[in-house]
Amino acid sequence: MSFTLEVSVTEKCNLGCPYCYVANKPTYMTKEVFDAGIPYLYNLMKRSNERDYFVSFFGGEPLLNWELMEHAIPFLHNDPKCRGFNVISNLTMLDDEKAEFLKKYNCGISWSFDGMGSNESRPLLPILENTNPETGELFDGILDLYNQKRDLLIEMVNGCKVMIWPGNTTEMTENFEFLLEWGVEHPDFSIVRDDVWTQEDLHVFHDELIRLTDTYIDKLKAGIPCSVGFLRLSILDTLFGLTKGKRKHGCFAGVNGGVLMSSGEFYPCARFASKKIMQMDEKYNFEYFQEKFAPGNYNKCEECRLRQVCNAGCTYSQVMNGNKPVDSICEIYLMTYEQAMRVVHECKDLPVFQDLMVHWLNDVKSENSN
Amino acid sequence: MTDKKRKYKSLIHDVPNKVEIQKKEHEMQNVLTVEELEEQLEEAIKGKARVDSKYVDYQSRGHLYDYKINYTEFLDDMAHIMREVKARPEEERYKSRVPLMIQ
Repeated sequence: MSFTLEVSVTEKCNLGCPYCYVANKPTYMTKEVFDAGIPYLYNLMKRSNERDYFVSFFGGEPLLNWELMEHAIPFLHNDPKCRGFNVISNLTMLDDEKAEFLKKYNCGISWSFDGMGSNESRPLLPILENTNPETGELFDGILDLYNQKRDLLIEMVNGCKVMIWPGNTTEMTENFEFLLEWGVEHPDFSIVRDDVWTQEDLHVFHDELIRLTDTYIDKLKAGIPCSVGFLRLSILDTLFGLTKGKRKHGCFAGVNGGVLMSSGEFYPCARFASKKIMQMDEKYNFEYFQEKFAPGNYNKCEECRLRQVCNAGCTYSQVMNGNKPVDSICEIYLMTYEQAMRVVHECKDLPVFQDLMVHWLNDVKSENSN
Repeated sequence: MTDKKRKYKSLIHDVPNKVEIQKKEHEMQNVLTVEELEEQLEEAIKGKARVDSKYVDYQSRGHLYDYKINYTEFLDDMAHIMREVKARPEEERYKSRVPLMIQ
């Protein structure tokens, strides 16, 4: 496995998303902080028994500190210990020049895009970066902005990250179809794994998940190559869990990865950093995290039917829940794994699904070996 | 909401950069091939893999629904898929435009 390093190049963002846990503060990482962080990254790699690393540029909105990325990416590209890098961005500030740079260095792009509800969930702040250069006026919502550069976006990305939470479960199916119309064939629907789901929310999610899965199966039967993030992940985790053993940990945070903040401090992930807890200083103990948050060690999971395959969710949420998986998330996982297996069973004879399975396997590094 | 007379201020501050560029290819490692997967599926179906019948046969309790989690059927389905894929020429398989970003 590799050490996963998130680099929070700024906590500033040009959007005002109500669900974001990062404080929208004008902090910008300097190249001196980045350079000084590399030797300490090597130190953390050694302490967590990792030989190489992967970097995700993170924020805030990372493209707001483009100068830092221009400085950091060529270094990472040249560093033999760096296995690759990507940027997690809303891409509102992507232009031809930045796109060429990212392509030149083979930088992956993870697009944060909520789909049809984006104008409400991702409001533009009144700043220069959100103005239409032709009119000097603010764009009429983020979808208007994206429409201006739709061809570039579709050329650069093949998926986007869509957070699923109790506020948007009833739109999952319509949003999936909206994203397909936008040319996003593989939206990475990701479930918010905090203790925010009431029992009523879970019933709604259950019914909406079945409706989404029905629609997904219909698309596959129509010969459309596409996927839904959490269903795809459940299929792959089941496959690897049953054949090679499940992932040792659900998440890199604190186990074999961390985040470098613009302050120069390291934390397990940006969520820990937002509360300034468990700083990865010289006293930080990797063994504690690797033992405490190993999905195979949870007593709570002993009799669960998903014990062979499930990786138990978000480490931060588990810390907030007395170092154990969150009940509501366990329930959601049971629902998604059930539907994932239904997709496989009902689509096993469809060539488009068969090819997708192989395509996923070629794209996913099988890091969950024993 | 739009104010035509308003002067919008940029958030981006100026940080000069100086870089040296050399080409290096990054490659994915440890990719599971169809053949390897097929072999492991065979082992799993024969009971040599880490499928524990205690959990396969577990009857759910204390949950909102009676979930259908059938690992045996899943493994049979996956083995079927791999056989079907192998029977088709590789050049006819689906390829996406760019790699998927799975996080």
